[in-house]
Amino acid sequence: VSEQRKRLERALQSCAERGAPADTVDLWPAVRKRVRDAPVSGERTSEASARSRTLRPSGGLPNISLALAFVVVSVLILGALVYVAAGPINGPAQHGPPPGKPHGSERGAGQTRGAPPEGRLPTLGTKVGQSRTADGERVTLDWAYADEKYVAVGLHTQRLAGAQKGVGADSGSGPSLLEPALWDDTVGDEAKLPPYVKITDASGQDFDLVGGGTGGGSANAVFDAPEGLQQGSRHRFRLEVPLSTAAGGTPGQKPAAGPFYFDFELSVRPAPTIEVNQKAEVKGITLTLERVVDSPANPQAVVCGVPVDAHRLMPWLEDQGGAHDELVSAPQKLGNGCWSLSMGHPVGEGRSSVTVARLEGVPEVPDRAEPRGRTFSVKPKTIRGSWSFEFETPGP
Amino acid sequence: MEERSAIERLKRGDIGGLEVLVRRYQARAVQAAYLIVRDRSLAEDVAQNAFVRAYNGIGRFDAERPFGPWFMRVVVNDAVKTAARRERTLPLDRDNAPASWLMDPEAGPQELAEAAETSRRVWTALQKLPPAQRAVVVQRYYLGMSEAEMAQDEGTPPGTIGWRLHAARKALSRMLRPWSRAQAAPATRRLPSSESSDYAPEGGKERE
Repeated sequence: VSEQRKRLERALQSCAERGAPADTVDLWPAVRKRVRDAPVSGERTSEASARSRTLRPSGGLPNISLALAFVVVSVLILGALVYVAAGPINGPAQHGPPPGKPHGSERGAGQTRGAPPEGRLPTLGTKVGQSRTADGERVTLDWAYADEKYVAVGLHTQRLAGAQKGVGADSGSGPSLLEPALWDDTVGDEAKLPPYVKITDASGQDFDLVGGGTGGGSANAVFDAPEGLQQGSRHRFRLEVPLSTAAGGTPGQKPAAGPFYFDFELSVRPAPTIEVNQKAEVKGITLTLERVVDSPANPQAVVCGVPVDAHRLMPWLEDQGGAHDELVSAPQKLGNGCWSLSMGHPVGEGRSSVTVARLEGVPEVPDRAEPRGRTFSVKPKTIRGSWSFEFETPGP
Repeated sequence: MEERSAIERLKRGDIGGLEVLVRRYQARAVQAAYLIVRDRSLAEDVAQNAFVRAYNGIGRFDAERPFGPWFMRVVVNDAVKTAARRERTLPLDRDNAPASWLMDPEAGPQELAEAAETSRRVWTALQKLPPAQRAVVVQRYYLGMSEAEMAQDEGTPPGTIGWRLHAARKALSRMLRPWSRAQAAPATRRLPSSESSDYAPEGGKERE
């Protein structure tokens, strides 16, 4: 094993060195330019001060240029004041983006760093377009989606250049270095998590964050509605969005920015449930595909009959995990040997299939920090399948 | 010592402190990101962003802690997100073009037979892992981080990290096994059996 490990380490070193030779890496000019463009608040750096001196005209501005500059600055300040007085876009939710028009294109001043997440959800969802500003950051809720089982939202963040933290004046903008904090709260003590994105409604049901991702200034989040939502009804939600650095926040402490609150109302769409109730046996283990929840937000296959033993076996679908968000792809235990498995994509109409490739598990391990350089010992168990299920998905 | 001094300088707003950290960690950061995102230019973006994040977040960084593991975790986390985004829009089977360095025309016969072949197989196997598993392999076997270091700050229990690493190692082992056996055949040393090569528990000690 140690020979294998050494070979793997050498191969990784070789791949890394040949793909990105160390002597060809020079990030400093680009990093210096970026941090110079956005200096830290407080004490000015010596280099930044030197640069300011370099850029300042030595002879001073001619009077006419000075007057012109004064007018331009005044107009900019006036514009910013008018914008602040008018407040962010906060009207009632609009339904459906105009065809071909990207979401979030009407956000007033500022530029976004990234595009909303890919996939069908942004187009299936309702355009919201609410923005909130605090702590030098602006968060915009671009779209939201709700069906009987899940709620999903799409956001983007912007840093407001020139804004003092806590004031929120909008005198320009740039990409945010903070991002909505997404934590899987389906297991464990939620109170031990740093501040993270949550959604609530008037019923007080405990929505869990079961999927999502961040990147490029955009983020999406998928919540499950454990008690379900009534199809066809209008439902009011409140979304809470704390921002954190990539390293995450600290439990019990204020987030790096926010939290930002959004109140909005959505029509609840159907999430077709296909009752399959089909059995398949391999190696004496009979699994049952009970149903498929074909929600565009988080399509799930509910598989039962997984043996309950000390290895805490869990089922894994074929091809699962490849390009899915890790939060979404993790099997979710429903109890009594039943698991809910993310399928990545809705099954749609017609003939469909679901295949459980294997059962895999490890025994209970101490869920605590280990001493540095030491790890626990586990003996995993794998039972290979596959258990295949084929079924018809009826049309609407 | 130089690193602590650089962090202190940076905390005081001296950009020279950042330059020391960039010069010290840039190659490692770009290479680690490259192994995860599999694109040199994206890897440089990831590393560059991580340095800017470090610059902006240095006020909250505890100077008593080592900078390297914290910074590399930021790099790896960003690389995973970048890779996941990329692979959502670019399926893996569309990303089969070999990296140019795999076709190194300057490589001699011996090098082609050994190092290049090893690299090619590991590179190909790594591509088939999901980004999060790729990341734990890179953290463990390229950056040499312990599981405790990998779990720190991430809010992930060591058990989860261990499980992720186990799954990654197992998948890699499965993909590399035919080649490993062929490599081992002429040698006197025998590789462990297929079962034990998947996982080798050692009670209370660091694995392997």
